[in-house]
Amino acid sequence: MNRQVWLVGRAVITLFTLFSIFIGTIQAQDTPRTANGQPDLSGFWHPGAMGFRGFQNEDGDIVLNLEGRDGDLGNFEKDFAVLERSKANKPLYKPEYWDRIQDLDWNGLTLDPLFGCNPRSIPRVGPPHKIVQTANELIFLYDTRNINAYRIIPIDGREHLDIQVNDTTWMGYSVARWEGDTLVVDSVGFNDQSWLGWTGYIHSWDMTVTERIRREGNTLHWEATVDDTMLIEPWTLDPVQRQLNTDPNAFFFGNTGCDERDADRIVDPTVRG
Amino acid sequence: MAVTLFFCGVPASAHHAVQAQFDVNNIHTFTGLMTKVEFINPHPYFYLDVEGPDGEVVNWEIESVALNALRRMGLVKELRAGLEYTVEYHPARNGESQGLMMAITLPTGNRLLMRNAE
Repeated sequence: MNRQVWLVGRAVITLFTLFSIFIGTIQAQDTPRTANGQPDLSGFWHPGAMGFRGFQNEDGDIVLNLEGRDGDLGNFEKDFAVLERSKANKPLYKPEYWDRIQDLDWNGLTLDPLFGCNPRSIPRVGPPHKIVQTANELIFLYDTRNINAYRIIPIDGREHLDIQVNDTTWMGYSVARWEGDTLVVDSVGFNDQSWLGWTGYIHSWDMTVTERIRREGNTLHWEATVDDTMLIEPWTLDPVQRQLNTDPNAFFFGNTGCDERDADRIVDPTVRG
Repeated sequence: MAVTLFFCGVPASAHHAVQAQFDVNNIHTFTGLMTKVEFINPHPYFYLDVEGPDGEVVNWEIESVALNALRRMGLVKELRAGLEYTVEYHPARNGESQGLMMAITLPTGNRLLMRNAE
């Protein structure tokens, strides 16, 4: 009897494995390519304005159920802090920066550049929200809360200009190349104001970022590695996957004004949750 | 009002800890006349004249969740000056006439809840 169960189990596992390989093959075959044979990364990789719109509960109320335990916004932020601080993947800073990072983590509520009206920066913004790909350049577009952003990324073999390396920007300056089916984007010219993550992860002007982007079917795989003189070794952020948004009506919200007014209204600045 | 059903979560993107600014353990309610709306990031603001028990009218400032959440629901122009709204809010911890909007009932009678838990 035990052997029969074992055989059935093996058969199920084998069938599942074959099915997974089959699906993987189908996905790989479905990856669209450009005329010159490169994977075509063009598309909407973000809900944009067509994202979550709430739902109607049994009382007829329209519910914008903010993520959080029991649908409670307060719980969301409390739990978010625990999740961020308990991540295993952390950048390794040189010892002289440890006290500063820890202080920013616990007391940096209003110092986090995302608290104000600053752009979401590279690499914290994550994968591009929309990609327009041509033979010589890629346009990355970002639908972010405070201000929509873009990057124009040459892919014609050029290198960064000195004036780009010496500039200080939120999104940096980028050039790209193909390594097989993976797009590799190298970026320089960053300011030292942006953070790499919520937990007070600062960086210097010397930061360089390498993003690796690969399309499999309608899935975009993104990961970014940061190199900086403040770090003991380069740090690779947790990889992110995005699905193609096939909604023909997808669009970005237009920009509105931004004015951060809460800094002087916070009663307890140590509550970062 | 037509409501599109999307049973998924809101992307995790907090501006700051609301409990650092608001008393999230209490929800108060008032009905008032909207005097001004500001659809800005990172949070929209609504200003409403509210008559207190002593007859004095106080202009309250109500902060909202992220603007894009309201925009996705197509509700931006449902919230306009000159109309009366009922607001449920977490009061500000600084004691000022400020709050964080947790629900708002429109003149049409539709109630917009910012969270599921009552």
